[in-house]
Amino acid sequence: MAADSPTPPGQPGTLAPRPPVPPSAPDPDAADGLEAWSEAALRAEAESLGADVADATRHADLIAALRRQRKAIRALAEADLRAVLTWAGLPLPQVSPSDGLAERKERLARAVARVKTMRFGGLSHEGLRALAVCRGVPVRGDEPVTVLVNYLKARESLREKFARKRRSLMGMLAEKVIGLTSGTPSPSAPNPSAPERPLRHDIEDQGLLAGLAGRLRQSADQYVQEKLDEIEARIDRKLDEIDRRLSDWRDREIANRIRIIKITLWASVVISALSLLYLYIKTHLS
Amino acid sequence: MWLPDIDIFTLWRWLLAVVVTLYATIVMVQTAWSYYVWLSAEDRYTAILRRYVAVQSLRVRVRAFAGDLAVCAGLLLILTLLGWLHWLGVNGHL
Repeated sequence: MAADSPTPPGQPGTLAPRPPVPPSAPDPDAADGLEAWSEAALRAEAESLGADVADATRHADLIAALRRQRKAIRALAEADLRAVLTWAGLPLPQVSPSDGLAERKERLARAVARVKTMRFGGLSHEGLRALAVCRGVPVRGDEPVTVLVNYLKARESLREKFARKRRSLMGMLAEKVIGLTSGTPSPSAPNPSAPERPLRHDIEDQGLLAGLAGRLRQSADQYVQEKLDEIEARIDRKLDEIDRRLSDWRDREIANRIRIIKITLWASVVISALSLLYLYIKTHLS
Repeated sequence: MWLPDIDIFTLWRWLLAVVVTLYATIVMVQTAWSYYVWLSAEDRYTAILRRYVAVQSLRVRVRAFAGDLAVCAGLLLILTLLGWLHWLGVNGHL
């Protein structure tokens, strides 16, 4: 009976009644099940999202780094991630309508993490911050552009920097040999409004073969797109011609029918006049 | 020999009017019905064609045929007038 009766507050040895706890949002980390993943899977997942796991050697460190990276990505705006891909001239990844906001952001972040360029001209401040997050730079969110650029440059290792410079030199040589310069943007490019990147920048970011292959693919896409546009314009012209001919045929047909009606009416009027004359003669002269 | 008092001209006129009117009516109804049956099919291409015919009909410019239509209206008026005069003549008022 004593257990059922409420205890007055303030008495020694008793607990005051606690206020009701408001329901909190579910912690996304609690149910991600990362503890069951292998180290290799964790490392691959973290690297695909751009997390810096070079120093993480233990299983728990990998899990912590991956959760930290996912949290940082969730804090980004989806529009900023899209802006980075548009700026880089990459196609936006396909998203399913059933995907949640976090899934969409992770998918975009994976694509942003594959952007390897170190030329940041034309990228907005928010886009630069999103790019830094997807390259594993721990940003607070209020850093100016120059600081973010310095972070990103510091993130690049000496080996990567040397390789990039080597590719840049090769790109310049290849551009001189091939004779390609930046020109008009390709209509088939994911972002046709953006100016076409020089070949040396493509080679610098992707390597000689990948850069040349990308440029060849772009030229082929442009050619196919132009041909498709020509075919579409030809079909449109033919359809307009067919429509115009059908309209002319319709007008001619209506005019012919009206002419036939007119001839019939003329004949009827003439016959009626003759009939009236006949009636008059028969009535008055016979 | 007894012959009925029939005016050959009147007989020819009435026969012509009846036969031609019946023929024109039957042919017109037959054509309209065949068009209706053909255009009321449910398949996709007939539906497109049906809409196209409707659009073409709505795009007809009546003003282009205004002269011919005015002549037709005038001839109809004259024909009505002649018919009325004929009716007066048959009834002895002319």
